[in-house]
Amino acid sequence: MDGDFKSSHEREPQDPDTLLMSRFAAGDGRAFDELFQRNAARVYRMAFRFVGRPDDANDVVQEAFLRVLLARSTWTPRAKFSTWLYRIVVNLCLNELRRRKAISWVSLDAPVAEEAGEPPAPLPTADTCHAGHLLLKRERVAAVREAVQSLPADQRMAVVLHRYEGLSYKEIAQAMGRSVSSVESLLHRAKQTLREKLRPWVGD
Amino acid sequence: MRCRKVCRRLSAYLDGELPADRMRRVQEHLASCPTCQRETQELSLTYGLLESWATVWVPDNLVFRPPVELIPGESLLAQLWRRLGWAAAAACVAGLLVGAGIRTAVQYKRAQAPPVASVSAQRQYVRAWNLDVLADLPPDSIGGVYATLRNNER
Repeated sequence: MDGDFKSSHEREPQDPDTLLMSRFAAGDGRAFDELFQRNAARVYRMAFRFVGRPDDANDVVQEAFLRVLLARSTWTPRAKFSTWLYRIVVNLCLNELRRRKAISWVSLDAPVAEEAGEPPAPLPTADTCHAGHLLLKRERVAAVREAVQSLPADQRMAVVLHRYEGLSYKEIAQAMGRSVSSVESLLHRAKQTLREKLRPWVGD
Repeated sequence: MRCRKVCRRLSAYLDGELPADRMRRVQEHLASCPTCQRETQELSLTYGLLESWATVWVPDNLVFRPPVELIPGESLLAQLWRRLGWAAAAACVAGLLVGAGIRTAVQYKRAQAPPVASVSAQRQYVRAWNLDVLADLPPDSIGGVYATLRNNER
């Protein structure tokens, strides 16, 4: 797998993030700032979808970029920066999950929508049909969120990387340290589970 | 291709991740299998439903806050050594110097102090200097004469 990385990297020009990391490794501190600006939000979204809590997602962002910072002296462009970053975030998310006993979104102390990673609720309107549609939409989002976050860790990560980060099976395999066939199996099982959980919502 | 095999491949088929020949065989099966067609449709709709959660609100104040003032490229161990190691090393050296100084002072003091001898030995020593008059001094005085003569001897 590393051989494929190296040969493809040598054939193709480096992507912007990989170039930035190379510049950072060479001593350009501003390149790190730019890397953060370009990737922090994506890391946060990915982490939030997996760990389910804004503070924990922020912790993942901080830890991930701390590792980027500390890797400056040892960085070699053997792979794309994004692949390497995904690998870091996957490991951090899985570690976070192992530390926790349980993740529950069904709680009397559930955070308000904004804190839970949802956009702020729109102001109510006089149009009750529109308000009803919005409410239904929010309930659907909550159902999807709960369904995804109830998946086993490895299936959840595969779904987050594939459906929300747009990674291919091969890229997911690299990020998770698994084979492509393993990723295929994870996604297949995840979709079967999601189908059962979200059956009431399909077609709405 | 049988339904069971197709079912296992449906996820990858929908995601466009199958090799061309397998993709073709799945398509051929689906063309004539309503059960698998229904399965495909349900999976497709379910996965499409995940798009509902497309938006995740990212905090405006998402900034990088390193836990310590890090020099890029320096390991945490090097950081700790840089902050604490020199202080510890300096403390050790200072301690060694103070200890050596104290030892030297003690040794010097001991060297300065004359050996304690009996009164008779002191008188005998003083007489050896042909100072018989002083050799008969009282015990509390002969000690001072003795010490003076010993220092002169050194």
